[in-house]
Amino acid sequence: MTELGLPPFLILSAFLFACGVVCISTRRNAIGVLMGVELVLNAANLNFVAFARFNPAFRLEGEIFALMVIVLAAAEAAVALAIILNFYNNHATVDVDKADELKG
Amino acid sequence: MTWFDASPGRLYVVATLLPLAAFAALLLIGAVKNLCRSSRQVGGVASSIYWLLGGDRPLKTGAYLATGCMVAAAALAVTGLVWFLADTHQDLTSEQMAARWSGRVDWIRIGAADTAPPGEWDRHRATGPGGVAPRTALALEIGYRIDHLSALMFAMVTVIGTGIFVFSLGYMKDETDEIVEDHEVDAQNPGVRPHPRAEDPPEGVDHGHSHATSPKADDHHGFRRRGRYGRFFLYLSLFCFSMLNLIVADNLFQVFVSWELVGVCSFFLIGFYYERPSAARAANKAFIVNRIGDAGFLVGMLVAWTSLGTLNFEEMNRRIRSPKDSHEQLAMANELVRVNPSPSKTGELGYRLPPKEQAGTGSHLVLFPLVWDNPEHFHGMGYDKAKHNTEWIAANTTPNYLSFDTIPYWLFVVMGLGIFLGCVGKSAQVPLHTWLPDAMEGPTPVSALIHAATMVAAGVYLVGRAFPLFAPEVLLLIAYTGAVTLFVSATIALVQTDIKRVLAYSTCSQLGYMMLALGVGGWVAGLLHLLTHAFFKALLFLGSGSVIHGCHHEQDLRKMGGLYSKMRVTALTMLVGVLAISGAPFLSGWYSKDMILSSALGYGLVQREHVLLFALPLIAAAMTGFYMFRLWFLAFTGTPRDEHVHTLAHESPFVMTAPLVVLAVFSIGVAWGWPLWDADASYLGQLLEHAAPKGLSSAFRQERLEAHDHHLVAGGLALLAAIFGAGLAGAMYWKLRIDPAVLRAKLGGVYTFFLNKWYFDEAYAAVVVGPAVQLAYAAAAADKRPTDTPPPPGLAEAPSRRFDLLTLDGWLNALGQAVGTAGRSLRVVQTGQLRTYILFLALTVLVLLGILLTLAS
Repeated sequence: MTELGLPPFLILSAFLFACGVVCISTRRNAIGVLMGVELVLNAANLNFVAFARFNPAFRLEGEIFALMVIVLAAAEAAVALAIILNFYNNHATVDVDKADELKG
Repeated sequence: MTWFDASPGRLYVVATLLPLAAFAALLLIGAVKNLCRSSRQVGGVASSIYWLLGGDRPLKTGAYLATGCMVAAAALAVTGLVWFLADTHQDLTSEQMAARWSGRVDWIRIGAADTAPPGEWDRHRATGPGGVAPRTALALEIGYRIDHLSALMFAMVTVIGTGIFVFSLGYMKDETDEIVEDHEVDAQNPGVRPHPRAEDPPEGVDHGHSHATSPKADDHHGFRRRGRYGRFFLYLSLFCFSMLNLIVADNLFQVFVSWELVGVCSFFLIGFYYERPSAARAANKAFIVNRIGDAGFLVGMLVAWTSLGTLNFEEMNRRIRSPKDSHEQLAMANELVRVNPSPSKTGELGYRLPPKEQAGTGSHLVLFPLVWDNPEHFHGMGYDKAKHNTEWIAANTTPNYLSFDTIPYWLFVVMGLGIFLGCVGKSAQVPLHTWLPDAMEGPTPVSALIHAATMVAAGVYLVGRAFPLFAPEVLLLIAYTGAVTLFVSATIALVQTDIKRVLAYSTCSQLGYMMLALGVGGWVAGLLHLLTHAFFKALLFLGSGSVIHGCHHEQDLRKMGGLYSKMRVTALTMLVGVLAISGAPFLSGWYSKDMILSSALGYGLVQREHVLLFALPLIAAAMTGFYMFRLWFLAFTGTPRDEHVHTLAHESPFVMTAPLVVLAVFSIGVAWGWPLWDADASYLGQLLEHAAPKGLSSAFRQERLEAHDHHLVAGGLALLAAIFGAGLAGAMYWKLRIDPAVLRAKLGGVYTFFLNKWYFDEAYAAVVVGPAVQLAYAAAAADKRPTDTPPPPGLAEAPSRRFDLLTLDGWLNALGQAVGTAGRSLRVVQTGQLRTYILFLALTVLVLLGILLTLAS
């Protein structure tokens, strides 16, 4: 089996990242935005793991950071869901376009 | 005691701080009392403190405390003086003796303590005169230095101050009441003169009349206020502290600080009855006029700081005056050495002494190092003997304390002029004399304190202290300023009718004598006159205070007369003062005035073009005799001119007459010496001679010889002049042989001219005050935005918009509006929409990535 190089992983990661960003900026549903954030995080994770695999100097760091990001993502999801729930309680909707109370 | 034994000058530090302690204590008591005042009816701790501290009445204990401190200071000062005179150590050099009686510490460090190379500095520290290492210019110091002059001045100020404090205990008795009614202030309208007249005469002119026209107490309630007994003594204490600090100060900066403190205290005290518009104005005038002088002082001090590198009197003196030397061309010690810039043969920048026939000229002044290996010789003047001829001084590229340096001579003159300008303001010399007569608005003990012991003495004292810093040109100016002042003030004093104003102008005149003496090289004469004058002028002022007190605040000489039978002690003690100031033989004033006139005569004989410097004081001596005896005859002899005043008149209480008697004794004998008839033998004068600047005798050698030779001539002429003046006054006001009215009519215009004080106030009002007020109005008009004016019909907006923009307000508003507009336009960016932010974020990242790629490729 031929070894895939680093570039395919990076391309996949960039693709995932782009998907995530597009998702965040286009979805009106807050849950959808949260999903986009997860995609971005996973894109970053993929990067970490890929560099850990292909650059021996980063082996340990890459994997630990990947774990770290997973934990972070879980925590972030919990917090974000709590915010969304509160927002729903107050506005009876999860449309992020309605959340513009900080506009100048 | 050992602490004092090691450096007995500390006695003076303690004495200086005593009035300050009294001030602080009074301030604290006053503050606590004011804090507790609000709860005085409620009860509790605050209330009991309030009632303990005297309650609603002013606290008398504070005044006794302040007086006690002053008495203690006087006792210390006299002890110190005796100690100083008895303190002889054969084994100590004069420098070491000076060090024993002085001390200095850094006050404000501006930079590193020592900038000179440490090794060299240490070596010089060991060999420096008196073992006292000079300090660098980078620290403002605080220090004291006792010599004969400051010891005598200190004793004089504290003794007279004690007299004045004691006198004030009686004189200010009215202020101990809970409620004081000031009849000179309109109760309904405080701050406005009781009877405004259509044409408001310029400041000061109206004083004599305002008493005459002031409303009677029965048809008019005066302004009611709380008594200010404590406050008076608070100010007096601070005043005394400032003056004492000024006297012991060993550097110009400390003098300046005290100088300003004295100024602000005089402001407080002249404006003590600040509800009276005239008092408030007089206080402002004194303060502002003094600021003009102080601006000059500041300039002089800055020049001294930057060019001499030190503000210490002793060090400044050593820096500009040549030391003892063996150089042929510079045979004299303690001289100013002037040089001309001239490059050496090799083209280096340097200076050369002018040729012998032009000695004493040159565009630059040589500054000498403070410490050097061999002060006996000039030869180390920063040049190499082998390379250059002996008259050449290399320009110094890295000037410091250990090296020679030069400054332009005009800068040195500017320095002297600046310091002298400060003295002109403080000592009320023409043209800044106008504040002094107006300062009579203050309570009379204040007038005595300001005019005798403290404020005006400060200027003369500083001229004496900073004498080595004055170039010959400046000294000549000092002499002429003094001569003009003594003449102008004497002519004005001839015709004044307010008892205090006569004395005020007489003070101006006597200060002029002192300045003149200092200017013509009669250093001892001028300062001796300062000391003797302090005693008899304090006596005269306190005497006039006693008269005013006894006549229930009547100050107009025209309403007095025949008071001798009513107040015998006051009359006799004042007669002593009058005789002393007129120069009657064997009274203190005679010695000093005699010395001044002989100095002036000596100067006039050597430099014939300046003979005016002798003529003016001689004429003024006659005028002094006239106006002082006129005052005395008008007040105490003849028939009462105002029955009301005369019947109510009474002698003052013992607490007021006792200081008069003490001061009278001093006025008689303070300058005595043996033999009594020789003015030069005055013991006080001989003491002052010890403190005289070292270069004095060489700089004024010829003048001093002439003065000594023509001593009798000058003294005889002065005595004749004074007798003539006194005799004329007696003929006019005592024996009534000559009718003053006839003389007045004959003199006509001259009389009016003198009565209006040479129109100085009017001239200033026209030349300075008027334009300044006009300028202020113009500035206010330019600055005001006419927003209140409604826009004319047909215009939506007032047409002043564009004008607004030109004024400062307009510009600032435009700036503010621009910021506001920018903010409003940037508001739209902040949508609050998550997606917009994400979009911007992503776009930014893309742009940054693009930049990164471009840079990488």
